[in-house]
Amino acid sequence: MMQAVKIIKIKNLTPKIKVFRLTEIDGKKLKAFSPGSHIAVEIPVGQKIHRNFYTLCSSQQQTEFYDIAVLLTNNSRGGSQYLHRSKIGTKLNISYPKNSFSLASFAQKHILVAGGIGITPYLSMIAYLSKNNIPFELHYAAKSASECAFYDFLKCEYSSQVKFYFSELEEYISPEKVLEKQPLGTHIYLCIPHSLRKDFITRAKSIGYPKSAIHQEIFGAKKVNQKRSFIANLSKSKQKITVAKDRTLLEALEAAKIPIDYSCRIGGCGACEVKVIAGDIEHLDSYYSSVEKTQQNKMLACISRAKNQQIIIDL
Amino acid sequence: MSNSNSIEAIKRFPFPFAGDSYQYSVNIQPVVNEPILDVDEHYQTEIKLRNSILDRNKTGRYVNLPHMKTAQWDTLEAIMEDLATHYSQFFTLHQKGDRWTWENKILNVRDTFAFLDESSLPYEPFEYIARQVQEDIILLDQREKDLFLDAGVLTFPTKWSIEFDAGMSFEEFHAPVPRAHQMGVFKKAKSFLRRIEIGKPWTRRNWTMTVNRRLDTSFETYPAWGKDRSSVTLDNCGAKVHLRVEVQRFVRLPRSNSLMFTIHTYLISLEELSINPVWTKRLHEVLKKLPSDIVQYKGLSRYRDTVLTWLSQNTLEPEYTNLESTVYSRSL
Repeated sequence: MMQAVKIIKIKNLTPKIKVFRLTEIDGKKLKAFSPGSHIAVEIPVGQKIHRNFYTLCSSQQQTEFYDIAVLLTNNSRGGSQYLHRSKIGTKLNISYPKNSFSLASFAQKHILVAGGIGITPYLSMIAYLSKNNIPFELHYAAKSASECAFYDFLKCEYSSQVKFYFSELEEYISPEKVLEKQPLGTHIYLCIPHSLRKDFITRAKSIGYPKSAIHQEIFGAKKVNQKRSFIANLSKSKQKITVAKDRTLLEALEAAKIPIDYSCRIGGCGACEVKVIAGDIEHLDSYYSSVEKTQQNKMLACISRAKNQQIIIDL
Repeated sequence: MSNSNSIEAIKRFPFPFAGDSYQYSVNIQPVVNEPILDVDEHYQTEIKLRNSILDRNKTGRYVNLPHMKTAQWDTLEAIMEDLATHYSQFFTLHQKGDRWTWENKILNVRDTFAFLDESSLPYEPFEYIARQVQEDIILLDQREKDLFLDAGVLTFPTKWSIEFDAGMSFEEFHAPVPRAHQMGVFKKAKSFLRRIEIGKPWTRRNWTMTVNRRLDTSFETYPAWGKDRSSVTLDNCGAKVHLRVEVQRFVRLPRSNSLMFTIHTYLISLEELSINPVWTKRLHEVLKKLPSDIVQYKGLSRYRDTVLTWLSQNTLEPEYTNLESTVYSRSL
């Protein structure tokens, strides 16, 4: 589901980070969101549309607009460069908000750890936490104050709860100091580079934080694969069905009038399961367990494909 | 019989079986261009019944854990917008910033309140809106890769107690269901539900049977209805035994990231059902093949055989097998 928006404000936060304020243009209210949510922004690159994911960094109390902070990167597919070149009035298509990094509702205290642009999901979280008087600490590492996005805002609004670490001044976060002597029921959130994240997780586990109290920002993890066409050999009806690269096996079977059940059509419910007699399966569903996937004997026709050119199906 | 279905209601009855046997599956489909909630000819009767149950004693009927406050407002908003959009002849919603005016013409309700300000409503937001819909509503908090039953209004349950299940995780509150755990159904269902997105609701149907036209088959009221199951005879079967279908809907709530699960319960007597011979025939097939542990779980043991006999004696051959084009060769 998409929302049509336009940019109404652009602010330079650091030399490389700009924040964009987006508001609706079609008279429909922007969808409300929960702290930690992100949206996908459609970016035209040449003939194609890329989808880039950005965390919403405005407060959920504010329903008239969304803010997203965008770091300019050189090695990207061009999304951040496109946005950095955009002007006020630029129209964009964005998805409804999604949340894969939400606050734990039963935490007694929240410790939020940010590195660089990793600050973005925490802005909506601290707005929520402080409004509801829920204890939190924000530990924020950046190169320097001038490269620290939202520095003035955080210093002004949350001075007692935020600690900055500037590597230029040789200040570094110590997982030990941050994690020790915290009350029982504390949850930690990590949006930091890989090596520091590993240190935090190791230290947290050794202190005795349960796994469920450690949260990491992971998004955009969906598999992107170059889809190829393949042939489905149907063993019972002795038919060869060609599945074009932009079609699913389910669609090809339906077009050939082979009776097959289906329900969700997004690889989640299992209704369109078919037995596979031979051939390697590329599982793209979120239905089977990893053990079931390795068995390579059944697949969901609505989403999964043959790994190679042919597959034999019991239909 | 009072509160029985009109011919229109029978025609739109959500018959749950697509084939001649019943199997567990996640069986879930997207809700596209249709309302989440249903307002049907039983609206006033069922609202009256819900109010009387809640007014008598909320224990076992209403659960609302303190961390579900935001989800309550989410629920109120989702339902008001759904009703005002799809049933504009009965419901209107005017939003001016945080100042909202809600009108329910059927119940003669008109309230102006401040969104997110609980003191501006006569009830908690969740209870306020639940008293204006026919659906039972369960709110699931999403955390720790699981879903927890942390709020709910349940006046028309199919043999369960929200008091007992409050605070439980997804697999815990499904513990009594036979077979499905071993089949891994709940793990898969849970992972599907956790990924439901804002603006993309899903639906599924569930079914059982109930003796007499009774919506409230809660554990709390078992003494009032449990004995009815021994009262079925071949003579009274057609009027007494009802197919009970739950149309369930799953909606992602935006502010809280919780999942709203609504249950609309429909009852149809075997006599009403039998005006569509495809349905009676199919129900007969399903019941005949239903494994004994599921028969017992659904509470049908005492009267299944009687129902089977009744169905076999009261099923006319359909002139067409396609449900859509069935000629109704019997009338009530």
